[in-house]
Amino acid sequence: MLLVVVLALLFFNFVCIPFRIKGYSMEPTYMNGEFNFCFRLQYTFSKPEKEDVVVIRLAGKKVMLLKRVVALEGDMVEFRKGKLFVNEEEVEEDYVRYPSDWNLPPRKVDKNHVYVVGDNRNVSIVMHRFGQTSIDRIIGAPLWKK
Amino acid sequence: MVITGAVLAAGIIAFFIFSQSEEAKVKKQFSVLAEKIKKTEKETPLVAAAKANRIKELFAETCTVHAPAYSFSRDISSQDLPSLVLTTRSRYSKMSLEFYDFAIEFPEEGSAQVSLTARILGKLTTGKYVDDVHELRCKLQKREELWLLKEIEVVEVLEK
Repeated sequence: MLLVVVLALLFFNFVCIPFRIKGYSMEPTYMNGEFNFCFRLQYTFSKPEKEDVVVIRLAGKKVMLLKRVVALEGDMVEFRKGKLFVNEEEVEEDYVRYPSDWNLPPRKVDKNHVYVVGDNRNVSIVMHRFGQTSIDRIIGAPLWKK
Repeated sequence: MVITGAVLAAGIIAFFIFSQSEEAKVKKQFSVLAEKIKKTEKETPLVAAAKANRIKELFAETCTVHAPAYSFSRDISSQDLPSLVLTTRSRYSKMSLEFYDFAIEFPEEGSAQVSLTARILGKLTTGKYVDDVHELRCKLQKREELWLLKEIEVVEVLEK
């Protein structure tokens, strides 16, 4: 019995961390209040790719951010009238369903960083949390993908 | 050999207990801060003023606040704190501050570095709800057995 408890604790702390989504940043892909697991082994042998939805840690694992990777290190990222451009080319984003009017001048993604954005861009660019983050902060991906 | 081992073990245990208690004291300061920031819809102006005034007891004479994402960097004196806190809290009809994921280090005697996640939950007087999380790096200094906030940096986790 004790072994089961220990294994369960290890599993839910180091392999699949349960979490509940609070917020609207990833709608309509992931809705506010939904339950999921952060699969921590996702990037053990690989690095995040474009279009991956990733879990980003803050100081620890109690509160994390859920965002989509849109550009990798060395890429130039830009928003023009709500459209995403990476290296001057417009990116087709099927996962973005709500209208957006974002404008953001081009910026280069630093080494060992990725550029992440939420799918819900129908909010002011000032209010939406997005940008480049260190790969070290990505601790996994949602287990139930959409 | 046995005595050396016992002394060593006692030293390790004493160090562990000492470190634990200092960590607990640091955490306690954040818990008091959260308690002072907390606001309910029933709070009276008198209680608000008293809370704002007592917050300065948690800070060093001057506290430097850096928030690169907002291009904000300012030294705030403990004398200016109550009015600043009062003004900020007055924008909310209710609010709470929660701290998670503490990582505490003591780089030197009388000095602590804390990394944590802070979450502000609340409702503005305009009716808008606020749910904001940030990673903070704080420096505290020990004054008369109290750990006082000396520096707060809002870490830019996502850099636009």
